[in-house]
Amino acid sequence: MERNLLKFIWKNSRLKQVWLLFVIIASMPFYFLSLELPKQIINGPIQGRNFDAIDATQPFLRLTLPYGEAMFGREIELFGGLQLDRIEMLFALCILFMGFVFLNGWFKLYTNTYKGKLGEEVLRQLRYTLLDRVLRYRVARFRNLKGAEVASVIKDEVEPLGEFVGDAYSLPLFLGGQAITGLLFLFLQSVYFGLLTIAIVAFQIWLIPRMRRKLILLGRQRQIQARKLAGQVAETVDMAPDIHVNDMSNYTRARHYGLLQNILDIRFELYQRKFTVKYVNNLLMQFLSFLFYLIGGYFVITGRLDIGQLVAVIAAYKDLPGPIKGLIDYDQIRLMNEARYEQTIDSFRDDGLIAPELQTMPPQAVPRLEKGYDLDHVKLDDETGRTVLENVRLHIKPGDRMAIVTRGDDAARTAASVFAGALVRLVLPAAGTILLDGKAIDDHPESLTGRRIGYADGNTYFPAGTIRDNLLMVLKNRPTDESQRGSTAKRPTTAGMLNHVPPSADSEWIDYEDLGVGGKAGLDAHVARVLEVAGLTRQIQDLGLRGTVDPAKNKEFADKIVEVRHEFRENAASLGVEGIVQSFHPELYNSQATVGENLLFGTALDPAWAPNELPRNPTILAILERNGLRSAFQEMGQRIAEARIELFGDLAPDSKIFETVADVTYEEIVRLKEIVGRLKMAERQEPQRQEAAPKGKKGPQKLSDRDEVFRLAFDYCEAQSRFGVLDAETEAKILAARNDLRGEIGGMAEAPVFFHDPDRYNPTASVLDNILLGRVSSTVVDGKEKVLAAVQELVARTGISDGLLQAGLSFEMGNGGRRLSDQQRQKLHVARALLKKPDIIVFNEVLGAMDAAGRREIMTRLIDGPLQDEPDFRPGFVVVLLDDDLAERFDRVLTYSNGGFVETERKADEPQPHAIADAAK
Amino acid sequence: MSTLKDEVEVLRKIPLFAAMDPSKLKLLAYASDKVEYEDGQLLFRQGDQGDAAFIVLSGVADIVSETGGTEVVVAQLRDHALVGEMSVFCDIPRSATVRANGRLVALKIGKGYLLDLIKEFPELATRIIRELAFRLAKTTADLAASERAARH
Repeated sequence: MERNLLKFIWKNSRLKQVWLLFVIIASMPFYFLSLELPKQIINGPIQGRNFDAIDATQPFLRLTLPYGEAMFGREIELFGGLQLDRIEMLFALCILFMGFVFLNGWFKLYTNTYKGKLGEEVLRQLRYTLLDRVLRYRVARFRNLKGAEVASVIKDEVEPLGEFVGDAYSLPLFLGGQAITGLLFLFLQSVYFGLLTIAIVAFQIWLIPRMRRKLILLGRQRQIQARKLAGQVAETVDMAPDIHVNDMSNYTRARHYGLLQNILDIRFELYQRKFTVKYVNNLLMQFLSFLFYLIGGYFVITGRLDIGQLVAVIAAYKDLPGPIKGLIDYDQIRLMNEARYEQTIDSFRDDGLIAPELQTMPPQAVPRLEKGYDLDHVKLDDETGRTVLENVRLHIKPGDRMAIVTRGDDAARTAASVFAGALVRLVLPAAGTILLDGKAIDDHPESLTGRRIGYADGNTYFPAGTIRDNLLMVLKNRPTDESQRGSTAKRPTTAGMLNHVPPSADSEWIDYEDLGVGGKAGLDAHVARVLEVAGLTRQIQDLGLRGTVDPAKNKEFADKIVEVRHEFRENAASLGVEGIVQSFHPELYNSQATVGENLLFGTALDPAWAPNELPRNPTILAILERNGLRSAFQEMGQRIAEARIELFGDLAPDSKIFETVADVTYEEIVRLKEIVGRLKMAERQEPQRQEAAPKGKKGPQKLSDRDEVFRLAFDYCEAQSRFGVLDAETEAKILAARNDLRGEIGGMAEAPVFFHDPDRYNPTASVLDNILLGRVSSTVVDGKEKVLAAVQELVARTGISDGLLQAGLSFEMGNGGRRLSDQQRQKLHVARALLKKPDIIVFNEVLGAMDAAGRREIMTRLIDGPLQDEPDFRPGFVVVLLDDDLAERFDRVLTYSNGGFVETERKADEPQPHAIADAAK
Repeated sequence: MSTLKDEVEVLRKIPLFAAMDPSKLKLLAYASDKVEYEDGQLLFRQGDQGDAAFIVLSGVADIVSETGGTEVVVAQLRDHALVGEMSVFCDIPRSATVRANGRLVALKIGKGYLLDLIKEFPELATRIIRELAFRLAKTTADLAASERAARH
């Protein structure tokens, strides 16, 4: 990688830099002309010079050949111009002026946009290069790498470089040109003053870099500290549970504060020095003016210089400080960015990078393994550098099924784990060779090892994304579209400047043919089988039941769910759930649901219609009023409040009732008492007045007491609370209001509510709620469990399990995959190893989070016949066992003994459970 | 749908709660779950941890003792009987299985709440003690009777 920032920029954008410079130079004449024109307008038409006669005219746009007089001895006229009178001239010149304004503006717009784009392109190249490096680091290096620090480098630290790129070459040339012109003018006016200026500028050029050395050093320190801060913050977030459990929050605060203080100190010193440099700079430039006035004035007074000359010198000097100041500022920015760039590059050093050839996408399909592993005199060290295995000589054929038995011994487990890692290049041998198909494993491209060898260990990390994304990720090795593959291929980019444009991540990356599944449907079936083997099917289906499905995307499944819903209703008796679920029926009041739910009879698509918002939704309020329910609800709320106070009012704050059975808290009861008391008092004082809200004390957004009470009615469910405040008449009115509401909403352009409808799939509700479309009765013992069991039975029977699995696969796994349990994530890792159908699968103490029985079941299934429906798939296994007794299912068994492996060869048809023990002796 | 008021009326008929203040009965009704069992469904199984006591509101409950794989119905409980209180008071596993014989409606009172209730109403404690004493007397008499029967 280029060590010098300017060189890096030049290498990645030279043509564009040249073009940018060209455009800037091309814009200069127009700029000067636009400055020149106002003078002409004033001198010409306005002051009337050369328009002495009434109808005198002057040529407009007269063009002569430059230097024509010098070359040909006379003026060569290219264009005679238009003869215009004074008024016409005014108009013409002003329009021309406006034209230049437009043109200049456009040039400015173009160069600024171009600079911005150029900067972003180089920035993209730089970030891409850095990311490429991260991907080519050896795995061992990641042990000392903090993700957040790398992210901070790639994202934040290089950001200012982007702004610099556009100016990197054009600005110094531009300003330099101006400065030299200025200097030249000065020289023309007076050689002495020119020399004086050069002396001061030279002094500046000598002095400033010296003052800046420390500045650059500080800049680097600041960068390192900021990076450290990013790492520390990420650590704090990651260890949040530990911090709370161990009361470390104050220590953590102190640690952060220390770093923040460090950054402040550095920045403060940085500012001090930066502005000191600026101060000295300005001082020197002003000192020059001082000299001009003093010396020039002295000469004028003593008569050695005439005043006109001095004015000309000062006028020429006037244009000089701007460019020089600009140049000095530019140099400061350049230096800071150089330092920043070097610092960045330093943290992405080249040592030990994997050669890029090992990661290229091969043009043809990856061959199957034939010979397998050959290990010769292999010596392996663990992470601390201690040798754990020596002199390992081993041959593993692709079809071999080999177990490594550790008997829970620490040394053996470490050795086995390092060994398993070495088979997939996670660990490099300290000595000896590991050959794969006759070639050192380190020389094989990752396309071969990554696709033909499967690996899983106890790792539980998954990036955020759906289960499907994370599963299929391992199959995405190469886009199937030929045109996407080579480095010549270009995807539509804003500017094709990258040396290697990678293929689009959105193109099809899964090679069905190579996987032998024959298409999308085949892949789904393959995934389903893999999940079955890994023991995940049921769990993912459950996730599917609790997840939502978009019927627009998956109409077939949604229709099927509606069918299952009908089946569930019709066969409630045979499923053993009769009377447990009270279905939502458009014409009936659902006693297990709250009043609000019965009124709305649907789920909110718009937040303004969410259960909490209903009591102040204007449409709802209008409908309640129309159906005579407003006062009924008010009264109902009042009675609910009174019943609650009667029930819970006398209880102590720490009473168990509040924890277990009451649907209110002690604080709420206290508040209710106050509210009801206030309302009663208000009624006594002003029985006529409806609005009893105390005025003045409360803000407008706070609910009045009456509203608070009114609200209670919405959350009330007679079946649960049994206060006896909801009679049949009110229920009938609520049903009428429900119909009314439905009519009202039907008239809206976009329905804010999805109504419960026995024949329609509700996209906002979970699949399970869609199947039930009702409420589980609270009085039935174990009602929820029974219903769930019945649904699962129905799912298996009606053949929607595939659809459910697909719905479950769309479950978002969350940050680090943490929405799934460790156990499920470990199973997913196993499934991933299996999914790509490798020739050899290495399992390194997998499924450690599971109980032994469950793990044994899955392992047995894995080893005995990984995928039943795909008989040609007979992978070899190298398994570091957690359950030693499974060893009898393997053909070969390795045991750790005194820094090496001892092997027992066993015939499959001759079960010898004690062979391992014998061999170890 | 029965309201709390109806349930209070039912509770008032149960001798155990007869002396209790109506508002407290209401709270009891509210705090306890009315549960319905089909014929043959278990209220709880012998050996389980006890988390609740039950009061039979209607129907019959069989008390089943399971020993060595055989089941013996040792008693039948009817209206207003308290059952399952022993493991709630003593923190011991259920001493017998209780099964619905025909349709059974019962009131389920959570362990914590029952203990709270007794603390607040000594009257209730007295009644429960009396009930338990009666049962003990009956068990003693039954034991004596069976001993006599065995001797003959």
